[in-house]
Amino acid sequence: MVDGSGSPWREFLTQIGIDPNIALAGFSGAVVNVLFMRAKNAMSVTATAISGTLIAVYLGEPIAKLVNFLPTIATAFLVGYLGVQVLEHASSMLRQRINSGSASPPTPKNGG
Amino acid sequence: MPHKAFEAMTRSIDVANKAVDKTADFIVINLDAITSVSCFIAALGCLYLSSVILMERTPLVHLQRLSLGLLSIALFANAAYDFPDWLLINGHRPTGAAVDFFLMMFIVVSVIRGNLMYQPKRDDQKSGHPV
Repeated sequence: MVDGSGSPWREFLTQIGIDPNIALAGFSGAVVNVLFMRAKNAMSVTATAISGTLIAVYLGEPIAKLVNFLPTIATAFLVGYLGVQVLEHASSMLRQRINSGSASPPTPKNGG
Repeated sequence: MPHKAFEAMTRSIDVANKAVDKTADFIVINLDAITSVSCFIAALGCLYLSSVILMERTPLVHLQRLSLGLLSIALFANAAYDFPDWLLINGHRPTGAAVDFFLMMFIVVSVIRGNLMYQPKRDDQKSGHPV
C-alpha cells in the first residue's frame, strides 16, 4: 500500500512527488556512489546520498522516458549513482569556462 | 449487578484513556513520520560509518562495509515504504524484517572481524614474553 492513502505523512510524501520505488533505487545508487567515493567526510557523504536520491526522484522518470531504453527503476538507480558525478563535472566545466572568459586578455608583447 | 460493574469498568477505562489521549494522539498521528525520519537518519549514519570510519585495511572490513551499506538501504526502504495491510508478526513490516536481517549480518561480521583482529595476548610459558 504505497498510494499515500494512509497517514498524513504518506500524503505529504505523495504531494511532494516522492515515489518510494524510485527513491529506494536512487538511494541504492547513491550508496554505491558513496562507497566508491574518494573524498570522504561527513558532509560529503550526507550531501551525496541526499542529492543522489533527490536527483533520482525528480529526474529519474523523465530521463527514463527520454531514453526509453531501460525501465524506470534501473534508470533511477543509474541516475542516483551518476547524477552527482555528472552535476559535479558539469559545474566544474562551467566554472572553468566562466573563469577563462573573465580572465584578462594576454598583454601584447614588444613590437606592437 | 454485573451490568453495573461492567459500566463502572468501562467508565474507568474511558477516564484513563482521556487522561493519556493528548500524548497518545500526538504519537499515534505522527508515528509514521517519526519512524520514517529516524530510519532515514539511521540510514545516513550507517552510510557515514561504512564510508568514513571503516577506512582501514584489515581483514573482512569490506564485508563489514557491504553489510552496513545493505543495512542502510534496508533502513531507507523502511523509511520510504508503508504496508498497513501487510504485517508479518506483531507489526513487523517486511522492510523491518530486512532491517533485522542486515543488522544481524552486520553484528555477525563485526564479531568475526573483532575476533580475528583483537586476539588477547597470552604469556608464553617457556620464554615469559607475550606472544
